[in-house]
Amino acid sequence: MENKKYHTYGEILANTDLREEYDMAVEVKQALMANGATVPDVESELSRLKSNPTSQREFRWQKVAAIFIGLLVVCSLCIASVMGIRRTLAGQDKKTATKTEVRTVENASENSSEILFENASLESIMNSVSERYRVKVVYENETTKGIRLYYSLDCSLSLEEVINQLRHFEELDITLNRGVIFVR
Amino acid sequence: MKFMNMSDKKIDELFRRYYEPMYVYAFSILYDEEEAKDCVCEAWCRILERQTDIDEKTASSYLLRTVHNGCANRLRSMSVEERMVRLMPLEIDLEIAPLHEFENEQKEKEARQESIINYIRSSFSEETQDILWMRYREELSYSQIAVRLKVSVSAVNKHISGALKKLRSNFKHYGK
Repeated sequence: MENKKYHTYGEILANTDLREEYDMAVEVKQALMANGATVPDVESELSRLKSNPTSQREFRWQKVAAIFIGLLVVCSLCIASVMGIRRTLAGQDKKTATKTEVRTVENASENSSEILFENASLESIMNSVSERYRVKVVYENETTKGIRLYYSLDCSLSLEEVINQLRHFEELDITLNRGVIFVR
Repeated sequence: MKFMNMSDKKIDELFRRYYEPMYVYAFSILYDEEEAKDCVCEAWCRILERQTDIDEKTASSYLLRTVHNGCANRLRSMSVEERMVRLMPLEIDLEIAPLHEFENEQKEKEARQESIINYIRSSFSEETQDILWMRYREELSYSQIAVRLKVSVSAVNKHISGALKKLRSNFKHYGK
């Protein structure tokens, strides 16, 4: 199917037959893509992951730890008072590093329009929904609060769309009524 | 300092073991090597950032589902026209099903893709197979295929539309 040449996109979307042909073409393409994929070098990609700023905190910490150990070795050769001062300084460095790490994560979540919940309780998910959309959540059954789910909350969606997504979970019965979410 | 719940060794092992299926999954949806690599890398960054401890028993499904959601986010950020130009899925949802359900869906999807490949190999002439490969794997236009094979554009169209018609009659429409 060469869509542009023979049909407009609107025609393909509106016509069941064309749409089915499009979907079949997608499946064929996906099958051929998966079948003939050349996988990049895994070791290079692992190195790439390790050099990625997002995943580098571990390596920054290794660096901090190495400096700290170095300081201890040097300090062990010095008099007790000097060693004490240096240990204090190293401790301050450590505290600063911890603070920065937390702030970075907070900033990342503030800027993101998506919040990913992995194996999170329904209560924590609904708390975020409640906070973001300024709605009240009422649980008719307290045990539902503990249900654990994997859910990506896309904050660019309307509240109705979010509720519709949550309704896909079989174990949940969620309704929105006059700005209040009822969970049964 | 323990950075996360998983040890470095476990991360490296899981990465090496599941990189290929994760990459192939992303590539089969995004059709682009760099984008597929980025998508897998981002999935791992997210796992490391969130300090997720991966259960080895469900690692395969968990990692593929993470990649799936990364791909879904990328597709959702594209316009419908953009997806149609590249023959990408028009409907792709964020996967929120439990891991065992996702695993079953993946098995079905893989089996179906294998059946499609086998059907193409066994039911179509070599010329049609070449044309399908050029169109869907190499992403050539009808006219580029026609030039390469020294045939008319309508001949290329005939091969592709005929093949899709046969495939549709043999493979019931898939939900996703």
